[in-house]
Amino acid sequence: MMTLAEKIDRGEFVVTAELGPPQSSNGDVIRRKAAHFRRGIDGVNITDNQTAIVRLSSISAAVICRQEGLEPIIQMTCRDRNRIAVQSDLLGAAALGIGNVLCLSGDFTSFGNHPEARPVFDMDSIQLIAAVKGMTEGRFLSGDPIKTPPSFLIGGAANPFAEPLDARIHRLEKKIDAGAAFIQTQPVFDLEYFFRWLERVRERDLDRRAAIIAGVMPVKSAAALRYMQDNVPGMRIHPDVIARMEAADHPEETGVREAVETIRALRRTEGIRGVHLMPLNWESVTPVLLDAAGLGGSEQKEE
Amino acid sequence: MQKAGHEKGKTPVPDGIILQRLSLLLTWKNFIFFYTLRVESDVTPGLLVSLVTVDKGRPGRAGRIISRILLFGEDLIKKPLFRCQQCGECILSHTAFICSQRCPKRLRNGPCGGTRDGGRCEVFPERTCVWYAIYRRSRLLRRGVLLDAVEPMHNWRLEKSSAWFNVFTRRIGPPVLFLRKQNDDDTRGKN
Repeated sequence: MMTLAEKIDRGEFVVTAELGPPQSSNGDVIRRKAAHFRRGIDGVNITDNQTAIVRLSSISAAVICRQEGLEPIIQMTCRDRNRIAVQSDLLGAAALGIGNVLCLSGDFTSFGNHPEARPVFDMDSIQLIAAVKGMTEGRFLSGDPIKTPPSFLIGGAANPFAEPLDARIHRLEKKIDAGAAFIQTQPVFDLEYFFRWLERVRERDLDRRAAIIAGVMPVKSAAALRYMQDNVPGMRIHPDVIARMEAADHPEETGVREAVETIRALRRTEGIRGVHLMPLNWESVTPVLLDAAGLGGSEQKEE
Repeated sequence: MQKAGHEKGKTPVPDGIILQRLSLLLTWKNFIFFYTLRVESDVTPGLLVSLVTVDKGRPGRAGRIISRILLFGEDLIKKPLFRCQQCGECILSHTAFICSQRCPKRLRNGPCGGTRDGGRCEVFPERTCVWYAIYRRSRLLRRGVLLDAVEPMHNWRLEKSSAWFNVFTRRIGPPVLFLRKQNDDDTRGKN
């Protein structure tokens, strides 16, 4: 089977999915969630103590995913690690066979269940991408050489929906300059706004220099959408989407249909090289979504 | 920014000579002489550098005294005007004179992904995102090019030290006060 890096290299449409590790030491939760990602998913993206809530570590969960035959992408945030810990964890991840890393600044500690914790932020996501790139080229941040350099496909995140738009494009370009090979966006609930952002991205030719993977999130109810709009910073949801969800007799079906339509629209768009599914605690919907969107992956062979 | 190392500056100078030079420095004429030398020319012989003797990144005794005096003056100006956080690696001139270190995440390269509607901070919704303000004012002052360079990781050893002193001793680059000069040479290449 092709790896994610190879698929991106060849310019194929990739599908990744997000997996949140549990707030316990139960590895079976990961195996259960991973089971839904067996078919049609090129990379399982594992969150790193998402929203600053303590969870099973991203690298450990990635190893479990690998045992299940999936290709993991670990998220690495700057919130909990200084530059020593970041480099040490990356070396460890590479030694365990993890080949993809998504570099993020991280949610602030005050959002989580340990708001009193010391936020580290020794570096920001751009500097982190540059650091990982440097490590793959065989040098530590100190400048010392690495005997066996790790090999990573480096990713960054972009939020097309937060203000100001100028800064978003600017930062995206800095991330790509620093060495990001793929860019994952926040979930798209407002295609109009997203395309406006994409236009700016294409103007600067950034879509050719890195694979832009758009986030898609299937939701179960209008209440969930409204909760996200009010509580998740930097989220933009088109009012029509909420209205359609509210009017629906079977909100779950409508949620799937909305997600499928978004995927189809994104797939048709030039400059979008893949989608990233974020079925938060609704992993079972993934195969349904992929089949409906025509991404079931007949070319994907079970091995 | 030039980060040329000063080999001469690194040779230790005996304390007696340091104090002699210190007394010289304290007459205001000399101070202005040193200051203009530093600001006007890029090939400063590094008089101040040799005076304060930065050895392996740490100032000597005289250096520490000057540093403390400068920090006092810097705080008097920068704290009320910019709410300076004393990072010691001042990039105020790059960020349209809004201190980027007021950001809860202390980001040095632009806003995080969480900026709320209307440009409010994700951590403290009642505040304006400093990076939102920086981009807005940079455009107003036509200083946007200064945001192109990727700021290197913060040197935490400079935390709570005087940025002015650090500029004099060449531990950090000088501020970019006037952009016209900067425009002539290529800003993009200078990271």
